[in-house]
Amino acid sequence: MGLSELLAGFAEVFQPQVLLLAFLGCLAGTMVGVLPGLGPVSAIAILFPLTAYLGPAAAIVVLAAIYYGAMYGGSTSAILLKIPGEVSSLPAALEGYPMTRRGRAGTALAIAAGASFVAGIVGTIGVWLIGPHLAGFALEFGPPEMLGLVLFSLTAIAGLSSGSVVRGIGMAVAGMLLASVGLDLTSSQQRMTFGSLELMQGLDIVPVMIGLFGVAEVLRTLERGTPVAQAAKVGGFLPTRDEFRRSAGAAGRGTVTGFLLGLIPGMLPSTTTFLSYASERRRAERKGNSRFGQGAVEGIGGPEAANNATAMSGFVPLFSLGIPTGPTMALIMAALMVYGVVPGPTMFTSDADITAAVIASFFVANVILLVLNLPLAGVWAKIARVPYGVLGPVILVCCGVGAYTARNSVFDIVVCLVAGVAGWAMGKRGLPVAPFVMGFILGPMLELSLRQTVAISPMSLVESPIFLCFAAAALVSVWVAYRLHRKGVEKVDANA
Amino acid sequence: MATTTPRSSSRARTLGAYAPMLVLLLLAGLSIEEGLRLLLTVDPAAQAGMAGWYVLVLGVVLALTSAFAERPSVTEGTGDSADDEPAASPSRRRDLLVCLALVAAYAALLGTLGYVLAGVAVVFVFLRVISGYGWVRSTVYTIAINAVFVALFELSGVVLPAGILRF
Repeated sequence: MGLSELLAGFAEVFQPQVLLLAFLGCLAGTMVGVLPGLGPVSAIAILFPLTAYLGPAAAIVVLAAIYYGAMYGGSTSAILLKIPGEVSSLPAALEGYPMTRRGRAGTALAIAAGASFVAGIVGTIGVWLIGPHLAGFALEFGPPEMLGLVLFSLTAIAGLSSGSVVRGIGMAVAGMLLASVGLDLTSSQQRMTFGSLELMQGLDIVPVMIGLFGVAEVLRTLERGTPVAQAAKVGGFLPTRDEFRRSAGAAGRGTVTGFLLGLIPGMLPSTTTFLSYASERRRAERKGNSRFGQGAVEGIGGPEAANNATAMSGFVPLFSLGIPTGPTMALIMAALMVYGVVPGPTMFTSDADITAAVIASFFVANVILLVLNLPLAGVWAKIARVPYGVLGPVILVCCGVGAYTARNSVFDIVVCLVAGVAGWAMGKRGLPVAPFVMGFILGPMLELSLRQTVAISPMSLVESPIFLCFAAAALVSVWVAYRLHRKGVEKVDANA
Repeated sequence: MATTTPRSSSRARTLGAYAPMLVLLLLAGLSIEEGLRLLLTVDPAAQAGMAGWYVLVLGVVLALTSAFAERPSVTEGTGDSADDEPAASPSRRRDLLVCLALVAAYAALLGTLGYVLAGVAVVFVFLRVISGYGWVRSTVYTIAINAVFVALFELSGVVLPAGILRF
């Protein structure tokens, strides 16, 4: 995808209707993102039905704007109210809230927004530059190579996004099994349907995801209760020269590491955010001038940049390989399929116009959010104080409608309900959700490429160097995750 | 009855500790059974062999991983289990059940009553029972929330069952 295609994408996005949709997406995403307990995944899950009947390009633009808006919104409520909307906003709460208490919330918000903006723009350029090349490489993939890629993605996600590799693999397999419910595509035999007519059509990803991230979140919030948010004064936005220097360096480092790590399946924004926070903290302690815990601007700029850069780089494997790197990307992938766009190498060839418009919309959404967030910080703080008693039924109805609209099926609302209970129970019992979602999404791809490989010749596996590389990478990822887990257990034992 | 409470609570906790393993083992058992059915009982001409092998192998892997990693002795102390969390109060447990019943009711009512009335019913009961608002406030909020929903869904072109209101 060259500059001319990207400029055509900008021309598409700058149409008043698309621009308005991007603005409304940013607004809606931020509004949901600032609400306690709701992060980008929940925002997409809840607001998905409103995009279901738009054209593919417009719908993806809105969805991406919602995603971005929710990320910005998460850090706003974290800084102003010490209520992180999601795990990756926790560093913003740890370092931003002490600044809020000193009457410097505006500066913390400006640093978070500036770092997110820079990371978002750099990440978008990365998607534009790397995506087409990776897609060109992926066009060479046959079934054995695809099988290797899916296997690597699954093992990486199972290992990296859960405490135990075995648990992660188990949950990925559970997701794959549930994805196999329905009619077998080759033999038309019923599988795992147990005679149910409804199950014959299989389990759709949209109600499952809405249940896991929307309904489950409502249940969790009802169970633990909602924190009471105190009003906060925003104050001025301008940082001092020293604060600017320290936060800019941290944001630069966070952007680079966040983007590169985000290309690896299983490296969720929450993981890279904490890696950046830990690295900045160590760096400050080495220098002997650590202000961490009392409002260190590096602890806001670095993690915020890493969060946004990772979120952006997740679009590279999604658009070029059709592989999501985490639950949010999985939900976006599901939405793309509902809009009739198949994520994969063809996004940069046959769907290049849509992809260009989406990439252009990333740039525009970042600008909109920068302009929107700071002046309206006080308004967002007020929205975050809307009681959950009112928000709960709104979220619940949105989840029901979202589940229904996927296939116009009431059965899907029941699936959403069951998935919600499952998501709530998984959270309660410490079972990792990310590998389960990835298994559900990648299971059919794995089965298809496996069957095609067997039909060609099982020997094609050992004859394909790309498959062998992916298989080796899968083994290495399992080993690395196992070592990291063991190290963690030994550390806990030593501390005990 | 007071003397039986600790024992029943400890029994519930034990059952809770084993629940993930049991649920996953049940799923594994069902898939193994389904895999064997496809392999052994379906006519080979239907070429369901691969479909059967796929779920059979997944079932075996799930059984092994669950038996290995989900035993309470393994999950205990990892910080992953929620056993250390204080149990939810009875009123919160009731809220959870009402919330689940509301989603089920929404599914049941959507086709017959339509999305407006189903939405009104669910929102009102949530506000009244879970949020604990009074009749007047619940009614006002219900009307306001559903008016926004109708406007949003109509504007965005989302097609939902009209039900008895034909709207």
